[in-house]
Amino acid sequence: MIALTEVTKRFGAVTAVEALTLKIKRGEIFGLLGPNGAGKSTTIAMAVGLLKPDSGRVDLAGKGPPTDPEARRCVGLAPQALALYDELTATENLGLLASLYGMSRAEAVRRASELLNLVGLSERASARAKTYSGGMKRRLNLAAAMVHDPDVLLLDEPTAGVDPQSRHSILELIRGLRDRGKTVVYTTHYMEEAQRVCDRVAIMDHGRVLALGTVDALLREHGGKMTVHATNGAGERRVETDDPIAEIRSLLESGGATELRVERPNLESVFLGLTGRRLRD
Amino acid sequence: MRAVLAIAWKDVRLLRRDNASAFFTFFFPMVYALLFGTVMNSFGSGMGAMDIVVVDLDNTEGSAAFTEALANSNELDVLTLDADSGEEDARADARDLVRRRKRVASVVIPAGFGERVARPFVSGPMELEIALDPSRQAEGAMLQGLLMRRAFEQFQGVMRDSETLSAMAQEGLDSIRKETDEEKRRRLAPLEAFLGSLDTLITAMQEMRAEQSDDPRVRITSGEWMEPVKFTTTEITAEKANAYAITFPQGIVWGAMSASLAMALSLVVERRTGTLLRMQVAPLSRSTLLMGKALASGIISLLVLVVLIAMATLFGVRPSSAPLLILACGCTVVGFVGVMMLLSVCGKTEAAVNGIGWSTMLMLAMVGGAMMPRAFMPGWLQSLGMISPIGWSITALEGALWRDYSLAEMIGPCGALVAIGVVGFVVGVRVFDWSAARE
Ligand SMILES: Nc1ncnc2c1ncn2[C@@H]1O[C@H](COP(=O)(O)OP(=O)(O)OP(=O)(O)O)[C@@H](O)[C@H]1O
Ligand SMILES: [Mg+2]
Repeated sequence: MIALTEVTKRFGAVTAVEALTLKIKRGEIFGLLGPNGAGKSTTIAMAVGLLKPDSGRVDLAGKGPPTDPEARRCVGLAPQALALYDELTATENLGLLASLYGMSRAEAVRRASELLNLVGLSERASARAKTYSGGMKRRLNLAAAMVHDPDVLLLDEPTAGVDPQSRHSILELIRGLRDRGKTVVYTTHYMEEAQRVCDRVAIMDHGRVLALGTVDALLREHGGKMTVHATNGAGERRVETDDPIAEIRSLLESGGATELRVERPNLESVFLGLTGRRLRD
Repeated sequence: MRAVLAIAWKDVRLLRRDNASAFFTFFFPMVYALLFGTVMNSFGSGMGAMDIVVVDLDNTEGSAAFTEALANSNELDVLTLDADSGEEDARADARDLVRRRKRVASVVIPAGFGERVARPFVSGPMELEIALDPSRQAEGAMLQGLLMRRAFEQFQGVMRDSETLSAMAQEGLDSIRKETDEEKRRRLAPLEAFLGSLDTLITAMQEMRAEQSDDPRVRITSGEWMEPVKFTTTEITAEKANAYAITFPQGIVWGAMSASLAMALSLVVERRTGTLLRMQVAPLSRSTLLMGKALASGIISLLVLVVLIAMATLFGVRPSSAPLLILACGCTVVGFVGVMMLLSVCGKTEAAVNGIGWSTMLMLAMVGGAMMPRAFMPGWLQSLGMISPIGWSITALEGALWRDYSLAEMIGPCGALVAIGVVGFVVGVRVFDWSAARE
């Protein structure tokens, strides 16, 4: 659905994205994970034509590069930095975007109220965007990406600064989009989030993809072993193992633990395994 | 105190990081001072000539010499019209040239001028009729001064001749007085009396001149002053052009300038707040996006124009042609949209665009003649005025308000405005930085 081939982008001495190749399939939720400055936003910006890659090619849904306005029609973008007209109401913001995509006035109004309903902002529909809280703005920013019902959604940290409840509903919304056959590319720092909704993830660092695959495959390949944490009077012990049951049994036999916890590998440990660093150091 | 310093240092640093803005804070005043300095320096010598038209209805040696003297002045560029087709026609033609802004003023030398030059004490002061463009009062005052000076030089010329005349008279008297033949002396007596009084007169004139040679006014007898030149000044189309008709075009143009600057800023603001990228991601071409901006700018300018013209009407200004006024407004709007486009792409921060914007506007206003008469500027600066939409839109608006321009006469200024608009738009679209990088 989106194909980036060997794209590179430099900002002066900084190489933000280096020879990156990504093929995103139709109907999948694709997670782009990585620490701050990994190059996630830069990748997204190149995918929609906001930045011109120094080298490499981008193709949108087989319609060509995003420099062609018609190719851009099939994507919707929710940028990381909120992009809203503060002095316009939510309805007006969405209505304006709808007109940019050629919708009639009536259509635009209908679509706006539908989307505001979807992101839970119906009650504040006629309040100016500047009166919104951070999380509300984030949700409106997301709604703005979906105005023209695009086949591909590029969501740059759609859950940043959103309360747990809203986060849950945003994730449900993203799942719902997949059910309707949409393709979603989505960046985040929250590993557990990606683990929950993504079909495939790419882990980026320093402008490169370190690993790419389904969550399960990544966990298997790079997640390492399970860890058993055992606490007794002497302190805590961590044991890495492939067979936690056997490990627990032997721990209990050899002198009793007051508390036992098994930690499964997660994407966090995948990143740790790949780079030797924790994600949010 | 620490906090005060910290705040101040932060602001200095911010200004320094915003290159364009810093440039204009420091550099523009210099450019401006230099430019004004050039203008002031050139005052007189390097100054561009003031265009006037002269109609000689007197056709005497005196008037021809005066016209010649005007034509030879560096400060003036003289077009002469002959009165073959009749006095009134020539007068009307000259006024027409002023109305059409081809000339700043018309100077008519009425019949009897030569006579007055030759016999200043008998026939009274020289008379000149000036018809002035009412929007160019400053130049009018300068013109009067110039004419006065040239006329006085003429007057002095006659005086200088009087020295030879005086010598000749003295010579004549001497020869008569030496005559021994009684018969001959009696016959020459009337001539002797004449030459005697002539000599007295000439001596009196010379004394007078010596007394105050720098003052163009001439003292005849003690306490009484005579103007060597009497001006009759009229303003063309005075019946239509009340003072507001002169000031409103200027006001309208400043209004259009502010409006386009405000819109130029809005593009930068959209870049900063990120909303620009929403439009960039939408399936719009770059020119569609900027066309939208241009249209907004046009609508705002038009509103300013409509409000100001409505106000002018309240103050008794009546356009000589409503359709032409609409045309002039339309073209003014187009011209300023071009300016807006150029401004909006020339900086990436509000401060930069604001700085560049106002300095450009001041420059354009200056070379466009909205701040000081163009005649006071050196020639090259005057030709630079061709690129200023300000001068052109004032011409177009005045043309429709009180200059009675015909459609053909509107083509010049309107064409220039449309050209500025188109060039501004095309260059703006070219230069517009599409990249999302927010600097
Ligand atoms: N406009 C710019 N000018 C200079 N450098 C830039 C610019 N935009 C991004 N960079 C650099 O490119 C690199 C990648 O930035 P990018 O915004 O893509 O990271 P990211 O993965 O989205 O990070 P985050 O999780 O913090 O959003 C960073 O080192 C950043 O400093
Ligand atoms: Mg980012």
